[in-house]
Amino acid sequence: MNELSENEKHGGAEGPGGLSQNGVPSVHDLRARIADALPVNVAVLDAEGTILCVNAAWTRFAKTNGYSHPRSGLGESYLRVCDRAAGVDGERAREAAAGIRAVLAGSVSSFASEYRCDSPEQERWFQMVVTPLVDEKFAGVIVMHLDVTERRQVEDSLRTSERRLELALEGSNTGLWEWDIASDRVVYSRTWKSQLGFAEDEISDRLEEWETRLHPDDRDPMLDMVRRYLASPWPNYESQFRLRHRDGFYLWIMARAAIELDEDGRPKRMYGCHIDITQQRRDRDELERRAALLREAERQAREYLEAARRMNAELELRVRERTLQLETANRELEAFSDSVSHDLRAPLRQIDGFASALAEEYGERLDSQGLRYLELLQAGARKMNVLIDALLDLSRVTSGATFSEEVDLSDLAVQICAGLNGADPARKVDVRVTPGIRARGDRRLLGIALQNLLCNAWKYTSRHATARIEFGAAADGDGRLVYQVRDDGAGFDMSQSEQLFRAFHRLHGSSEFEGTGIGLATVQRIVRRHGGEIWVEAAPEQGATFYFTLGTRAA
Amino acid sequence: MTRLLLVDDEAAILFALGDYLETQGFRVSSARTRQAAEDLLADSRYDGVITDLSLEGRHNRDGFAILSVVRRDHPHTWAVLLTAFHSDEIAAEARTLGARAVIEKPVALSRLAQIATALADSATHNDEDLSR
Repeated sequence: MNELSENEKHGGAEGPGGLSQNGVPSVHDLRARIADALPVNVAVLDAEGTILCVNAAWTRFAKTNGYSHPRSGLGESYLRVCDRAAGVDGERAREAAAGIRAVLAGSVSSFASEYRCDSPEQERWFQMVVTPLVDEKFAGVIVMHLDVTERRQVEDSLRTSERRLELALEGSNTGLWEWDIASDRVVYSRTWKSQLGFAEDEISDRLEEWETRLHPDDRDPMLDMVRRYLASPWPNYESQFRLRHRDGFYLWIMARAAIELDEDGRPKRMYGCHIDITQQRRDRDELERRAALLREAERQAREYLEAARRMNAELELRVRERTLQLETANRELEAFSDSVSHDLRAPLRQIDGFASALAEEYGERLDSQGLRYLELLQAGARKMNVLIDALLDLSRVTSGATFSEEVDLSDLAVQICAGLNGADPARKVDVRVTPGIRARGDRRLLGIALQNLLCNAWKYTSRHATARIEFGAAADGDGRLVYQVRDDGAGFDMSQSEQLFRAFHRLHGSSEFEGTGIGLATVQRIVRRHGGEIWVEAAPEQGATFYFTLGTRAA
Repeated sequence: MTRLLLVDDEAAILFALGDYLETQGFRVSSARTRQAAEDLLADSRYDGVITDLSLEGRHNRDGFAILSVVRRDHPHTWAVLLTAFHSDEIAAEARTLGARAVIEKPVALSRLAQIATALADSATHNDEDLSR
């Protein structure tokens, strides 16, 4: 220990160290050795701040840190050293000086401050402590500098890891809680509170903060679970429940917890974390809802399909039934027509036959009047025969099977007209048939229709010296192919056209034109059976044009 | 991410609508009944609600009830009404109940997504603080 000699000192202090007479270290000497052994830099200042003595650590420190004073500052005013220091260090030095003065003046009982003073190699922290050293003979202070670098480092790393944990918890939005069971107080972390929409100071440290926010459906099960856990804890405590947010809606929380027992094995503290899993729950719920929707949509689609199938089957059944009915009706009708024609023809043949026999065998005995009656009788019978043929045609058109084939209508028309001309070669008729007109349909029926139409044209032009009959086709506005049979004969008044297609209806008396009144009705039925329509344009003595379609589209 | 609640009683429509809007970047919840919609509204926050007018039958008016709940309890949530039986009266009533748009069904999915995007954008711009 270095100290000022007696005459260097201002005030009284203990005498110089050294060995006592008998070689045993004096008390003073022992004290000095203790002071030197301390790892703390120690100096004693007198009332003026002059350094009276320093220990070995102080001296070493002064040397290592380049203080050039030959006697480690002994005799120098420490206050002045501090006052003189400059820069950032100076400010702290002046603070130290103020602290020393305050302790010397007795205005504070002690002064302490921590400061940083790096060595060339490492960061170092020191704590300066100033305590009074006063007795009857002396008034001064002890100044000590402790190296607290290690403590500071431990503190720093603790702070860093704490901060890291805090950031991790905040970043992962994990709330912490710690329930001290004896005092029934709970420490809730900032995140725990912010999850529920509250600020740090808006939630107290009571368990009710949690309990009262539980969803009514979750409250009893959760409280029960905690009770069971406290009674007999199990590892990996985990629960999910809903907590009411400040704004009234509920959050889904997953809690994990652990327990700390006291020496007697009784629960002391329970602590754990809250993780907000609301979004995951919602996503999961929505996925489930979506899957249910898909199942429902599929079920509906299947139902619709099934209903459609059922309706289809029903429809088919009805069509089959109706077809069967129609077929039966048709067969009956055919049988009826056949029997009618047969039953009608038999007496007719009798009338015709016996009329002919009468004419041949008894003709000589009849006068001219009688022969005339006989002729009329035979004409009537022939006409009856024609009528029966027409009726049979009509009934066959309505019933009977139809075939669908490609039919050359132009060809048919030419043949029919040739036949008509052959039967009546005296007439001058200009027949014009556009070649190559085709249709899909039943050849036999289409033949009957054309026969009727051309026959009509032939017949109703018979009063004119010359005539023209045309057969052609053209597309209409809707793209349908419209066939036409045109003549320049007697025509008729359009006001009567509606009755034209009725069976047995005649516009002209038989005195004018021969006819059964069945022909056009037959044509109309044939056209309709082919999915077409028929109509007519005419004017008296201007001829007539019959138009018809067959459900075929123009090429 | 904009969160939408879709309400329609037709499972197939609801599924298709939700699926499409999710591909367009919306987060979607689906409800088929008024009750389910109100439960979801009570539990979570939505930026927008798109509801059909008639849930369970063509004369049902549950869509109006849902509009009312949104207007009363969720003033920051916009709402759109869908209806297959459009009329001026229905449109007027929907507007009175706070609907931002009334859309006649059928509507192209892309059109619906456009409307939702426009409403979501205007909501964020007019009212920054609801973006929680």
